[in-house]
Amino acid sequence: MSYEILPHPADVRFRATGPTLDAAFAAVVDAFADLSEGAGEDGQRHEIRIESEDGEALLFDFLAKLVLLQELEECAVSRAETVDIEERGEGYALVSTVRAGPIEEALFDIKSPTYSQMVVEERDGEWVLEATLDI
Amino acid sequence: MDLTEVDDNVYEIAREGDMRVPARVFASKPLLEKMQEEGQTLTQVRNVATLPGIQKYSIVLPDGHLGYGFPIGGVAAVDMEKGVISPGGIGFDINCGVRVLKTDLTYADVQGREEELVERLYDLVPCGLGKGAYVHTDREDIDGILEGGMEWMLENGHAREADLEHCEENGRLPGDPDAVPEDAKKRGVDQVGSLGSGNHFLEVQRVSDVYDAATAEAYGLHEDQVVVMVHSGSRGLGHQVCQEFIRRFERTYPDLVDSLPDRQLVYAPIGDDAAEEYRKAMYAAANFAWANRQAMTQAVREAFADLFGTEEVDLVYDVCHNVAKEETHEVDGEEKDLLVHRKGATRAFPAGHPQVPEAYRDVGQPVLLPGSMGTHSYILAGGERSMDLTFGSTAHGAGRLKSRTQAKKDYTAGDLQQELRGEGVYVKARSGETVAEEAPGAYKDVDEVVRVSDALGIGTKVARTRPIANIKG
Repeated sequence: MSYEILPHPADVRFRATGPTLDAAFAAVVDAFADLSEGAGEDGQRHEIRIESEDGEALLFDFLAKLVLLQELEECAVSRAETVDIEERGEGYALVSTVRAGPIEEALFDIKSPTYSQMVVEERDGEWVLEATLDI
Repeated sequence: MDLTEVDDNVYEIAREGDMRVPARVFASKPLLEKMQEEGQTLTQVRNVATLPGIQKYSIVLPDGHLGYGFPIGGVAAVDMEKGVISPGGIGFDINCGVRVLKTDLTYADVQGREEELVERLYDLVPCGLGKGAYVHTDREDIDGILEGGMEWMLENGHAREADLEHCEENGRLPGDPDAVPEDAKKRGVDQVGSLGSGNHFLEVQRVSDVYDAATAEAYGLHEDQVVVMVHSGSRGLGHQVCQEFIRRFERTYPDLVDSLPDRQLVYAPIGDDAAEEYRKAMYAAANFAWANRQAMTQAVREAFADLFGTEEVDLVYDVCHNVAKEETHEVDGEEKDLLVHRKGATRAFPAGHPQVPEAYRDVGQPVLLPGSMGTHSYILAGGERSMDLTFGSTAHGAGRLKSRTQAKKDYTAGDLQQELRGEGVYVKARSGETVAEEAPGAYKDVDEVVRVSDALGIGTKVARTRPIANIKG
């Protein structure tokens, strides 16, 4: 799994990839931590549980949870310890354990996920996720 | 895409396919070319023209660029009975906006003390995420602010009467705290009087040029005067409102999502429960944004009182540039009640309009148009042709030219800060990366944006300011 920060005219954008959807979502956490400029210690475990109607909504909802976690728990997301995604009927259920440590310096303030130019696709056996975050 | 020049600085995309009205691009040729190079701006303004109830034209203004569903610099006015409300047409940062404060100081009074000033402001106004705010607020206060906006600030000793009189909508829209999601409220606690990140800033400036002496006098501005510009919005609270209602609209209208050219355009018909709840929550978030800019005003007052011994820090005006409001406009010779979505666009009502504050009614509403930290910002007046051409709107800023990643590659924070200091501009930011990302070269030419607004008569030039000290998240 890996990620790349992509150019965007006004906000921030990333691409996360992995051999499975679980791995690609774990890479999303790495990208998010990098963009927040706060990842240090692993810190505490936080569980995220979401159910969403399709892949794009799942990515949107997952990013929304990461934003809320940092802001309401006053912590800096560092990495995903586990991500388990199950396809259910017409949607997905995700359970993830995310590690987040104390905020040492003020973070770069990521305020929201968006659907703008969002990509959730399987290409040649690899999952590719792209999203733009509003700052 | 068929683009025709219909007048100077006015291009039209003819109605085709699902478009209900044509689209109009208000730009000079160079600005239009920038929009075309970017690729998506014109597609987005075309997509907005498909919204039910849209009137006359889907509009993009001279500073237009890629947004989420709607372009930034977009205006869409919809019929109050047959139209829809779209969070994408308002933006995530509800009531992101700008205010300008005037002081009784001249540049000579602050020259030589810029570093002290920038340090003091940076100490008082938290930047980035996780450092609190100038005004301490608890969960109960948040409900009061969502309901009352600037009125709550006045009642609680954080504003002067005159501040409300010089603010769009007097700093309060009919919001309902009960419509605001709980997580949004939690995100608002201890954030009133905080700057955030990105392009938000607090900047001390001097008036460098006056173009329209009579209007400048009405606004209380003169050459060499020290003024302060604040650009910020509703912080995480407004974003949470936007994102939760986008998801609610998607779940309420699943078939609509599949039919849209861009998922981010999702909407609800005005009158539906979902639409009305969103409108009340959006107005409440707008009230929060006004309180936030007001709290930073109080921080500026404290800094200027401490450092320069002056209490004369007065609000010239405060404008929203991400909002949708009910307004009356003439369409095909008839007065109609419309919901005007402005996304990265500033209301620019002309002289005589009843919604312009009494003090400015003879000259038109002040329009505040920030540039970048190394260039100029402008103060305009709502132009006579704005009601006819753009539903009483004009541009909101310079608009970005380079991505943040590209700017970080092209500029070094230390060099940039030194270079700006050589030009008399002192910058303090949360990180060196922020400085590089917000480099003057990363923005479009604000002078050209303003030239076009002025030439169109939608927002006319009153004064230009140059930065002295700038803090950023």
